[in-house]
This record gives sequence, structure tokens and C-alpha cells, in this order.
Amino acid sequence: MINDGWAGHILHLDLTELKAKAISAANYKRWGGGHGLGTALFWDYCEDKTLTDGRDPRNVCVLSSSPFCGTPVPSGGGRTEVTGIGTGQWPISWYTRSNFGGRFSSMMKYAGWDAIVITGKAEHPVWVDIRNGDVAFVDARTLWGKDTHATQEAVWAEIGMRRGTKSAWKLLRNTIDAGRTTQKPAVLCIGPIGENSVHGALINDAGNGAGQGGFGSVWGSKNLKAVSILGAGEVHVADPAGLIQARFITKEKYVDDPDKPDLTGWTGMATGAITVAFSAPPTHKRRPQACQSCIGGCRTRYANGKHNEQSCQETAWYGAFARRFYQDPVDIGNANLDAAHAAALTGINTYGLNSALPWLEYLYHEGVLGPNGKIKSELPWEQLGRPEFAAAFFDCIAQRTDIGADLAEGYLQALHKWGREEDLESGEADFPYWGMANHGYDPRSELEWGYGTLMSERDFNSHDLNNHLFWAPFGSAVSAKPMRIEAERAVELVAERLGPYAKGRKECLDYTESNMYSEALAQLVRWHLHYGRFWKNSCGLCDFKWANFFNTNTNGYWGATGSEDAGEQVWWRVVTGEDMSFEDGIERGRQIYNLDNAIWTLQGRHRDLCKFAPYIYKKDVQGFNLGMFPFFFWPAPDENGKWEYREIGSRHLDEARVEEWKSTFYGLEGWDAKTGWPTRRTLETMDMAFVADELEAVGKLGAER
Amino acid sequence: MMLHEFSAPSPKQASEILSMVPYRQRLKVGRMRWPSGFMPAPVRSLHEVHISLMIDEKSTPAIHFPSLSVWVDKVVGDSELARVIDTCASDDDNSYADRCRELHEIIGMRLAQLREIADLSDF
Repeated sequence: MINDGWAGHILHLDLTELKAKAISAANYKRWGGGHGLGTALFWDYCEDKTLTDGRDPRNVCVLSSSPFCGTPVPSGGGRTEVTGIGTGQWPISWYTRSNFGGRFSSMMKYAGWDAIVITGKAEHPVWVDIRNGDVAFVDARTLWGKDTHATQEAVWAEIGMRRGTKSAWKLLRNTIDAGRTTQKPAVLCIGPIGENSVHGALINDAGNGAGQGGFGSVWGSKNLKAVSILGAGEVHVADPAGLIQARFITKEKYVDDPDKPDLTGWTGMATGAITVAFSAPPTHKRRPQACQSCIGGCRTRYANGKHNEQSCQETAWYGAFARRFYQDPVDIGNANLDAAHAAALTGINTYGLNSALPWLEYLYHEGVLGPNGKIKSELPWEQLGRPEFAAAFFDCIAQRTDIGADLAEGYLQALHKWGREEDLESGEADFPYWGMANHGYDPRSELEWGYGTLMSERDFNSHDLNNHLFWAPFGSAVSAKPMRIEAERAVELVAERLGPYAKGRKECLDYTESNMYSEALAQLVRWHLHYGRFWKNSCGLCDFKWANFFNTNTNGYWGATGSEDAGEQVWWRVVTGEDMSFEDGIERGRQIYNLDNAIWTLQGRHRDLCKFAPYIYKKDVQGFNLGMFPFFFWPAPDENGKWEYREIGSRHLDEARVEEWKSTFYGLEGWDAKTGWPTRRTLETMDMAFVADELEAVGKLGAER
Repeated sequence: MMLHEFSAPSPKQASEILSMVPYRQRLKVGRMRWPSGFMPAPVRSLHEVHISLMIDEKSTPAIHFPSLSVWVDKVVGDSELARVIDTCASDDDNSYADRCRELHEIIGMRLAQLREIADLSDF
């Protein structure tokens, strides 16, 4: 049987019994792939959904591909979704998600698997060797303690792969009948931080990391060091000619000429290959590297080969400290990349450090933390900014020594243990939601980001509106260049894609204070959550390229999102053969989001837990944008209703009105506004009575209105 | 690019202006970069301000010029430089990016002069 877009089977790895089993994927197709698939599998395989710490052996971790993986769908063929209960959040570590790029998901599909379900806990460290349909559990005691790069090298060596591209044809197994390949396996692994189950550990595949959620700690708690996968199969698609045609349309219509890249952001998905490595050594001797099927290429390969795998967040958190010690940008870049490299080897997600390091440094200078402080630390804090400090810091985190012993459970866990609640009042501890770091888009200003995070379970990290309505005008404003799309037209173009909830309603995109608690804003957040849950997290469309609301390459500036020639639903149709509309995908996202909320409810979520940190509600606490930047621009209508890009920084959220907004949101979702729990009526309209039954059995079904 | 002739302070004054201020007197600035957004990067010395004002292909300084001027005057103790910053920052004919570039050059010149006077080969 041919499954267009699907491999047809899911691999269940039972680490307790060290057994592998194939499951049919047929019953899971309604969930799409990625997050939907992973959540449905979690629902079926997790025997206790009340867990609140992902390091419990009963936690279930799922690695999911999507129908797009392994195909040429632009910037949609290479992402792997990771789901399960996470670690290190506050007050509860929710059922959560992360994803990463590269080629792991493609290899999964080529090996014949749509997803991998990981349950139980091994008695001793293991790694898993998957070659097409053959699965072996391998003793990993000799790998335990190795960093992420050494682990991957060791696995490749074990499988018989040589470095570089000189590999000869290799047997996939011991007989020629199993096939041969010249490919190296994709190896997903953890480093020492994950092994010691420290929160904030990521899982790493050759520079691609699933950071949020702390799934490296989950793997470590399961004694799972690595999963290697090598496939030599294929992915059937329903309409190969249609797929190639849509890809060519994307190239001709929506994407820039690589010789004339548009670096202003107004084309959205068309910005070509832009390496996302910050504070890197300034050199033209580099080239971009991309994930499977990407139309961009955001990774950097340097001619000198140094720290090639470090990009994006890993290169963003240390440069501000490094410049204290170095004058030459090259030296600053090298120090920054050395710190990034140390993070990658140890296997830590550096995103949390965006807020944690400034806060820890503040405690040091206040005399609270240090050799003579109440919080003892022998780390050389005066050397913060040198690569040596970063390495020492990671070592103490990984080994749970010094302050690492307290930070191991989570940043806010440490804050409360240290009695530093005042730092959440003052904003010195800049963790606005769920114990997670401020991403750089303050919820007091960037409303859809803040509310989207509050109504889900992790830092939102979905740049759809942010890329178009913030970064595009920002780029023009910095250089005093004309806005290539006026605000009036920009909001029209975005609003046209906000169906089925708010199609054409421009007021949803009003970021002024007068609209901060509105029904229109609730509709925008709903749309954004549902869009992300399906089209991005379940189909695997990359956040850097999708959505594409507007695009200055086209007539009328229409972007690819929802378009008839290269929209999200086009890719779904040509790959799977299913004729689904763009808005049908939003509806699927709603179903997946409801399944998420059912799990959160079983874990103990109540609307009273969904709150920002105290400083977000305070009038006298400055947001990052107050007094620092002249144009934190977002669309806003003037007194005559004419739209403009307007500075909207310098404000706080009113706690009581946020509570009102939450009630509005819950009502629109068809949930119980008193608790935030799903209701039977809502679930049954989505053919999810099985979810209602499980909630009802434990007394957590929301009351009907 | 405006050219500025700074008067020469004494070696002691130059050393004081170049020194790092206490943490509590830091100036809160940062950088904006896609896709991370705002990254806090507070500064404690003219040297750090100078580097903060660099524009590269990946990021933009996030710095409030009036606050910078006050800080340079009251905390760093260089009122002459503060006045020049004021003048440059209020040049509305220049884009934000151009003003950052200009301030970077101006502060770079001042740093070079101060280092020479203070006889500091590094900072």
C-alpha cells in the first residue's frame, strides 16, 4: 500500500524492555504529522498524564516527521518535531514541544518511519541504531560522558562510516539484501548536561538542536544517549509533477534572485541565504548551508572550518559580555563562537541564558552571589565574557557543582530557593512567562507573542506576524528608507489570511494600548496558535520562511501563504493527495491545540496558573524598549482610522484586564472560562469525544456555558 | 561626518574617563537582531559604548541617545563628549543607523585621544 507523504509506520522504542515495535500510522493521519502526530501518540502511550516533570520514566518522548519531510516542499522538508513533558519550567513543566532542522526527519522517512515513540527507561545507557527496518539497542556506557560531537563521531565510527565524503558504499546490515548507501546516518544525541538530567539540556544533531522543553534531560533520565538513523528508501508523493511545478512557482514568483537578494525583509520568505550567526568573525569566506529542501540556508560554513555548526541562538547570548575584554570584532567573534562551541559540546540550550546570565551577574554585583555572598559561588564572575568563563559555567551546570546544583532544576526553581522573589517584581529576573527567558519580544509590546505564550506552554517563538509587521518596517526605519508597503496595505494583506476567525478584520492587528485586551486580539492569538499548531509544527514548515503574508516581489504584494499557486494547502495536496483548504488546516490546528490543552488540564493546569511574571503588570518597571530604542514599530490606526507604523513601547499590562482577556479567549475557544478547561460540547464537535471521556473520568471536564 | 576637536584632559582625568563605572551605574542598552529580537547588553565604559555603536550586517545598536549623553556627562564624567553626542544625536537629517555610525567614529576618536594621554595601550 502506498501512503502518499507517509512512510506508513511508527517505531515504538520501549527502553525498559529494550524492544522495538512497528505501529501502523493509519490511525494517526488526521493529526497531520509533527506536533499533531506526536501529541496523539503521547495521548495513547503515556499512561500517566498527571506528570509534571519530564524526567519521570513514565514520560513519553516522540520524534515526529511530517508528510512534507524528505520531499522538496520549500523550507518544509527537513524539520523534526519533539514532544513530551519537558523540564525546568515554572510552576509546572508542561507537555511541550520543540523542533529542529537538518535531515533527521528525512532519514526517518527514508528508513520507513513517520515517528519514533520513546517510552520507559533503560537499565544502563543505550543508543539506538536504526537502519531502515532494522533496529538495535546498543550499550552506550562507553559513550556516556562524551560531548555531543564526540558522540556523533563515535556512532559513525561504530557503524563504519568514514569522515567526510570519501565513504564507499556501505551495507545497511550484514547482508547485501538489506541494501547499500553512501549516506551517513543522522545522529541525534545528548551531552553531559542531558546525561545528568539538568534542565535546559537539548538534543543535538550535528548543529541542529531541539532546545526548548529540555528534552536532553528527558533522554538522560531515560538513559538514552543517542538515536542514529539511516534510511535508503523513498517518499511517495501524490502529484510529483504538481510538487515540482509549485516549487518552480515559488522560485519564480516569491523568492529573490540570489544575485540580487532583498535584505530588507519586505519579501518575507524571499530573503535568500542569510547566515544566522551573530558576532561571528567577519569574513567573506563563508557559504550558507541549509536543511533538507530549504529555499534559504541560514547556517554558516567558514573557510577556516572553525565552529561551523554554531548558528542562531547559540551565537547570540555571549557577545555582549565578550566585548568587555576584546576590542577587535574578530576577537569578539572568536570569543563568542568559542562559547557557542562549548555550549554545543555540553549540550545546553543557551536560550535561557539570555535572561539568566544578566540576572546572575546582577546578583553577583549586588553581593548576593559570590564567594562571600549568601549564594556561594566560586566561579570567576569578573571574567564573564571570556570563553574560559563560559566553559567553567557549563561545567558547573553539567556537574551540578557550585550554583549548578540549584540551577539544575530550573532558573525560577533556583530563584525561589534563594528567596529572590523580589527580582520578579523588579524585572531584574527577566523571565516573563513559565519560568522561561524573555525572547527579545517583550509581551508588554508584542502582544501576540506574549498572549500566545501565556495561552500555550513555552516561549512562543513564532515569527509570522513579527517578521512582517515588526521587522520589515524596522529595517526601513533604521535606515530612514521609505516603507515599501504602507501600514494600511500591510494590515489588509495580513488580515485577509486570518480566516476563519477574523478574515478581513484589520482591527485584530491594532497594537495600541486601546486594543490590548480586545476580542479582536483574542481572535488573532487564536488564529496564530492554530496556524502554528498545524501548518508549522505539524507539517514542519520552517518558522524562518513561513508564514509569508506579504511579498514585494508580487503584484499587489500578496505573499505565498494561503495562495492558490504555492500556499500551504497546495503543498499538502500535491504531497498527500488530500484536497484540504488553507482554513481546513487552521481547523486541524484547533483540534491539535485542544488536545494539547486537554493534556495540560490533566497535568493540573487551571486558568489561575496562566499568569505573567509580576513585573509585567507593574507601571514602574521599564520594558526593554523604554528609553532604549526609538522605533519599536507596530501597526496602529490614527484618530481618523488611517493606519501607520507607530512606536508602541513603554507600557505595562493591567492584570485585571488580562484576566478579562483570558475569559474572552476561553469563550472563543469554547472552553470553560472559569477554569480554562475544554468542554465536552467543543470536543465532540471536533470528533474528540475520547478526550472528553478521559477528562470527565478525572473530574476535569470544563463546564458548559 | 562631523569633525571634532576635543580639548585634552589631564592624564588623571583621561584615566578616570576611561575607567569602568560601578555596575549599578551601568547604562542599559542592547542590540536588535533578527530573529532573536532585543538582547540586553548594558555598558559600563566608553570602550563598551564604542563597540555597542557598531552596526554590522546582523544587528543594530539599541541605544537611546539622550540617555547616552546624560550618562557620559554625569557618570563617565566627559561633559565635552556628551555635548557632541547631543549635537550628533539631534541631527534629524541623518538616519538612526547613520547617527550610530557617526557616534561610533566620534567616540572612537575620543577614546584614541584619551588612551594616548593616559598612556594606555589597551583600553
